[in-house]
Amino acid sequence: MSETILEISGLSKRYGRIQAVNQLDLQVQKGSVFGLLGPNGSGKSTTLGILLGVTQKDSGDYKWFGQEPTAESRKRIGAILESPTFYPYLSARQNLNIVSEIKNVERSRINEVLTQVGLIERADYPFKTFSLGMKQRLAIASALLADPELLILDEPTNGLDPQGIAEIRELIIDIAKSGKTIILASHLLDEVQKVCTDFAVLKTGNKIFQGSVAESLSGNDGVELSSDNMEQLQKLCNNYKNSFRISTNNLGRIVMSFKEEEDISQFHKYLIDNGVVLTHLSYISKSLEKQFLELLSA
Amino acid sequence: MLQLLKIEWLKLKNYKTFIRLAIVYYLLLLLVLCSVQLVLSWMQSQGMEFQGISPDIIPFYDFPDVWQNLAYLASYLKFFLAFIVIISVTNEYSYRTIRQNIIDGMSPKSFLISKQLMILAFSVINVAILWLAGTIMGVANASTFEGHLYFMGSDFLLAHFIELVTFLNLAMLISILMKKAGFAIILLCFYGIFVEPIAVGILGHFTDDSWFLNLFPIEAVNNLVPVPFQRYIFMEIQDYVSIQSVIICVGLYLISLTINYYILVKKDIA
Repeated sequence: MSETILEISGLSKRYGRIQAVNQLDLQVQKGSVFGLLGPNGSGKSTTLGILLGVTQKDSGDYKWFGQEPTAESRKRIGAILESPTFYPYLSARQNLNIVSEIKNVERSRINEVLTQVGLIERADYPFKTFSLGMKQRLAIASALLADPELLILDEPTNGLDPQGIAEIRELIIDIAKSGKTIILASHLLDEVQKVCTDFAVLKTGNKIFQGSVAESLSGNDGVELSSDNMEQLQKLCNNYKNSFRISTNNLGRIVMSFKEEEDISQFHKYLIDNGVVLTHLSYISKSLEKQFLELLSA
Repeated sequence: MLQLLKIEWLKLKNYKTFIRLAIVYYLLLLLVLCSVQLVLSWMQSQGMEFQGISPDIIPFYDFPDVWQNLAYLASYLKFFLAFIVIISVTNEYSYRTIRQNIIDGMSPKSFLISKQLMILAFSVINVAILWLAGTIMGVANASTFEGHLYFMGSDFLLAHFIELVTFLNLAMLISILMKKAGFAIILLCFYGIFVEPIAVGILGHFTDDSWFLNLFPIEAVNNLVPVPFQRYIFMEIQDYVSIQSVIICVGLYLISLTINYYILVKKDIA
């Protein structure tokens, strides 16, 4: 049985001539890791701003935990929007003291979350001395402070180096394993593909897709091939009746997709019968990136 | 309520700029209020006199006159207190922490209340220092202490409190509108020191029916405590707090509070 943690219906917001969010409907189930995708300016941050009470909606409704939204319901949510926001002159601990006072949380939680994100040694240094990665981790610590049922992260890896990105990703996966619901807004598709269970795609304020990551990634996007005799291989591929698209990738291998589902052993047999032996054959797994670009260009 | 005041205190207590400004301000206030007799003696030694009256014999600290004298003097320093309020409010915008406070579960209304509590706290401390300076200097300078004189004229303490709360709310309104400390401070000073006094002066010159001039905010807060010093050259002064001024100030306070509320609750928080 799944419980709906967030329900949005007909949400709209206009900035002058720009329709930032247009009649958005969305449901997020408890326990899912929900990716909110879309290019820059597609309305992700505006939507989250409305859901978190800092942006005024023009019309439509949304419910948290099945109830009308209030400041109280926001205390059950841990959220970071855009860049980490803290009082720069206060230390990590002093900043979290303020958050714990707002959210009515025991002060003892502060050490726990600082340890969880690996900032306990820097707890008493001012926020302004932190690197971007540390600031981002403090933001996550702050979001975790009230042990919330739901975590909302807007571009949590923005501006981080690859190591920082990997650290934050690990952290998110850990949190997801503990059974929390997470809403992750991002334009980094790789990130969403690695951590999310469900996703929706926004484009200029409209929802153009909502589905599960697993379904979207089932099956494959053709094969990657190479052989000692590339010329002959190329020719055979071109002549194959079920071939759809053929190109060569950066490794000099042939990338081929099929019109209909192909029994790969049939195809392989065809190549051998015609005198070509493969040195490389692999499936190309589907990626969100490709689907995303197809959705957006549609 | 207490929790909101605590949140405000947590934001400010480790903020060095604030702590320094506040300590300097309140020390300065206490010093100014206590040193008038010294200044008058110094004037005496320089051979100055006011219309034939020697400065040294002016009974500045006598009860009950001391309350109006000090409240009038203190009202000149209120701009510094306004700067502290402006910094505290505009910081929330420049650091975007107002946004995070609300995301974390504070309602915009609670945010407004927490800033109001800060303003009330500043004003109470201000009045307490005024009371302290008046009591110490008054008792020290009086030949005899008479209870009924001590309490007479202490309505000026209340008037000073209303003056500060109204003025600081106007400063908060300017802060919410400007969102940058520099702009807000410049606007407040420019308006409070030049624009309004000049406008009031010009309008007063050209109209006979000048009651509406009392509605201008700076004029209104200054009218609460009228200039007391002409009494020392035997001129008639208004030595009481006029109910009309109190009503106008409370009205201005409610208007600025309502606008602040409207902006915080109904508008997007940048």
